[in-house]
Amino acid sequence: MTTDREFIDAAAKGFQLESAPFAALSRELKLSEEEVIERLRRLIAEGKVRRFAASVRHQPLGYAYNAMVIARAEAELLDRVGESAAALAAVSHCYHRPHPDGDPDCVYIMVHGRKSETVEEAIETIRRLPGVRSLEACYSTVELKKTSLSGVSTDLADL
Amino acid sequence: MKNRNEQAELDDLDRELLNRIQEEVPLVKRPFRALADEYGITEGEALSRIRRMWDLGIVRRLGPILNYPAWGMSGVLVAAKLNPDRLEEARAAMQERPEITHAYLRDHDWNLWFTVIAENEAARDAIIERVRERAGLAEVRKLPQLKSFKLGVRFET
Repeated sequence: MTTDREFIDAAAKGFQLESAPFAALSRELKLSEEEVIERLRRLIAEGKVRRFAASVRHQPLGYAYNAMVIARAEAELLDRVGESAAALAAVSHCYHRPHPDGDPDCVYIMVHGRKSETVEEAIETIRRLPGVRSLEACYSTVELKKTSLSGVSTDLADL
Repeated sequence: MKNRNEQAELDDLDRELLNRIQEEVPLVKRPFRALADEYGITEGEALSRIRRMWDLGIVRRLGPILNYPAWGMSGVLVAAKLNPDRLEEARAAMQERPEITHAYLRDHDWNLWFTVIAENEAARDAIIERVRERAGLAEVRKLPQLKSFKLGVRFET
């Protein structure tokens, strides 16, 4: 009997791009393909898996300009700031987090563009959103590490 | 000669497939045949388009995206103040722990940003503490996600 934990540790290593991608795991775990698929469906239904999907990197598409924007928001307008920023095409991830200095009411917004102007325009749009008190745009200068844990997708926004 | 960006150009169908598969790949025995049916193409074409995007490094993984807390795991984004003279020690501390998945220097007072995902909260905090010691971080703050407004990239078609 394969426990959910054993199953997910094996499944999290990732699947090959092939016409029957579940066949390899079914052989490894001595389950049928139907059982593998059923188990994944159940884990999604139980909320233990968010979705079964591809993880995507945007840099190879030429999205070379990236900024992390921290917008300090008025508490009662924070959700509107988050929703408006999230609606912008140049924004990939958007979430409410505290500022490292302790200010609890901040919206973190990841902005991407193929041109620096696209990123700058999005930042100016965010700056003018009602409820934004002030804004910091941080550019990454050095990437020290970018990996996946056991092949598990760990985008910043998942944490 | 074409540069790398031009080589990575996608057509509208590629972008539609990319948007579709980062939201969900069908959980059926032949998922790419199911996808192909949606777009009126063959399974072979769907696979070869996605394989090209895989080879270009655009699609990097196919699999379950976990809800870590539901498995008892604990992950968090951390901001810290790193003395630039200690960059190499910080880099070494990041490399030795697979639980540290992303790490960036940013042009901000809080110049070091990294993500940790570990088996549980105690293990997570022990890893953060180890990095703090090894890199001599002056200040360290955990920044829990309080709400998500958007998760993922949609590529304009």
